[in-house]
Amino acid sequence: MVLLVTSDNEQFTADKEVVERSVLIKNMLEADVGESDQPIPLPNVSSAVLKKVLEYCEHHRGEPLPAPDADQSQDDTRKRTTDISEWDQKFITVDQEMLFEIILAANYLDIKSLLDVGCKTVANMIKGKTPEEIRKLFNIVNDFTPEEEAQIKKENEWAEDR
Amino acid sequence: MSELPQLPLDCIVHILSQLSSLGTEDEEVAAQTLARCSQVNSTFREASSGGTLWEPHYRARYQHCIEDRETERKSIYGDNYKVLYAERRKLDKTALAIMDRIVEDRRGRTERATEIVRLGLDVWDALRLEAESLEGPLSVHSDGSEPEATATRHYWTRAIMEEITRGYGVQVWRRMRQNEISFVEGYNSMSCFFGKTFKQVNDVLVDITHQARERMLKTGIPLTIKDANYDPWEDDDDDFYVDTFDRNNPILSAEDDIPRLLSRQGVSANRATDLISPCGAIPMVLRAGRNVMAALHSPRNTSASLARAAVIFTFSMHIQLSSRPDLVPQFVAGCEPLDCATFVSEDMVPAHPEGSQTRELLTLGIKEVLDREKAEAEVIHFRSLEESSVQHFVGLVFRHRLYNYIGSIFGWDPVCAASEDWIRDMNVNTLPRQRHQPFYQCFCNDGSIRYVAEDNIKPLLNVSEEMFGVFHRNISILPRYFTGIQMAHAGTTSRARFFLSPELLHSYPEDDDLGRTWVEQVESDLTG
Repeated sequence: MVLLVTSDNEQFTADKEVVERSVLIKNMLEADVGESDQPIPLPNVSSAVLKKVLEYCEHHRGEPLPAPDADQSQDDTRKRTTDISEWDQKFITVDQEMLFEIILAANYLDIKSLLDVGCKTVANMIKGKTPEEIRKLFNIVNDFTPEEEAQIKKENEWAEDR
Repeated sequence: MSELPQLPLDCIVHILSQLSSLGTEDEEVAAQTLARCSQVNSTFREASSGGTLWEPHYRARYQHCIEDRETERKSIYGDNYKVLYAERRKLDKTALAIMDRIVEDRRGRTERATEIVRLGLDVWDALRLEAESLEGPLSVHSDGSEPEATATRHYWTRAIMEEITRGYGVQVWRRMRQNEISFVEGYNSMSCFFGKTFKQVNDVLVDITHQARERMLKTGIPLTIKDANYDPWEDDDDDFYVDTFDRNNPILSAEDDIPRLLSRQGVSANRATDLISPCGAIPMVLRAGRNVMAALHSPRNTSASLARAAVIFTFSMHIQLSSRPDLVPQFVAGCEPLDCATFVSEDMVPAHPEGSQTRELLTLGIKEVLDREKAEAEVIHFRSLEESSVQHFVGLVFRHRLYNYIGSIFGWDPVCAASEDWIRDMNVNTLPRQRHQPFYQCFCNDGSIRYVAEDNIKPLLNVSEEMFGVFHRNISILPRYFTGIQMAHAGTTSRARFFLSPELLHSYPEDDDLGRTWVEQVESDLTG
């Protein structure tokens, strides 16, 4: 069993096999052999989010981990087109704040399949949206000057309806 | 909701990279979204501009190109796939705008066709996507609505795609004459005459190879020469030899088996190399062409459009590969104006030296066809200006009084415009009004085209939707002239007609109103 400590100081215990879906934790465990009783601090992950992440890792326990540089392979583009599984779909149906937190955690903990599920979900949300709608979705402000904005709009005119 | 966490750049890049995996039918929307992301803010702009992010979109959409031009583009833009994508999309838009004009107006159509085939395979994928999105039968309208020219647009898009691939096929033959290409490549070129690109056929061949191999492994057909694990597909040497008469040991070795078989026939070993080297592409393609021609002569159910493509293929092949100027007049006579304006003038003519008989005959023939088309495109038929009254309208569905077939009118002359020979052969003089009556150009629903006297035309009442399905199946050229079907019902009866395409609306400006009114008067069939 591995002990994890969240940013809000809550402690979680989980099977080594489960937490090792996180490449970050796996590397940490491999780095300090012999001292595996030490709790692993996760200062970037809150307890609410870690609970979700562990739920995900528990469900996918035992599945093969992707090769480290799978991104570069040609086959991967074909594989990535597969849809999100039904369980993952249900799992990722959360409010937007949690969705973003899961993406951040998956990115930090280096859990590629979870990062993919989260990012694919957001990609589906932004598909077909206007720049303004995307800003609203991500709660971000337009930092272009009016001149820049006009210029960029012109550069991308070709993508709008024919 | 409390404050949303801000995602760092690498997460945003990851999200945007997922846009390419949402399915090919959404590719255009996905790429549009990616382009819009660059307008969100500076972080998104940075995230969405990476070439690697655009590469999958580019590869998904652009499966074809004119290779020289693609090389040139890549030499300018490197692997900046966003710019490459944008450049190709601009070409696509140019092509689709030209398509608009081809659909809308017969006048200038051949010039537009020349413009678009010069863009060639660079715009083939855009046309393919367009054609796929427009696919479908003529729509039936019984609520007073009018169709878009969808079916007509589909027809012309497909027609242009076919001309582009034919042009490519002719280019392949040119390289074939210079011995620059393999037998397989030469053989593939034939499919270019039937609306398929090289790549499409190649993909099919690769797929067949896989399937054949799977099947041979499964059914235990040996793939061996001597060693049980011999695998010709993984052999470095591409060529292997098959004895089609020996099921048990079909694969022959070039070193041992073939010399042995040859010597049994009394052929000396030093001639063996000549005999077993692959046949050149030209003789094989010519031979295939003769087979296609022979197949057309045997009574078989070949659709008119397939037969036409086959004739065009064999004639142009013989003219290009075996220098047969004597075939040119017959070839050109079978060409549509669209053919003349595209692969014939753009690719066939330049392959023959200046001053050669073939070149001169082709040039002359093309000019004749295009001049005639130009003149015909200008003609406008005002029924109100005719001295005698033309009773029926373009788009009418009728039954032939004598032969009983169902047909549809797509043109008319105020009096018989056929030759004296035809008038005599068809016994026109036995008709009540003989040749002095309107004659109609018609589609018969068996797929043939007829010239019918007004005396023989009986407007068809009480038509069914299924009947139009037969028209659509048998007459591939139908959507060139008609965009849909207007139907009106009254009680248990109905009337229907074809909606006219933009070119027919132009050349028969008074027929559309007449047709619409006639269909709407369906109630008069009840009282009568």
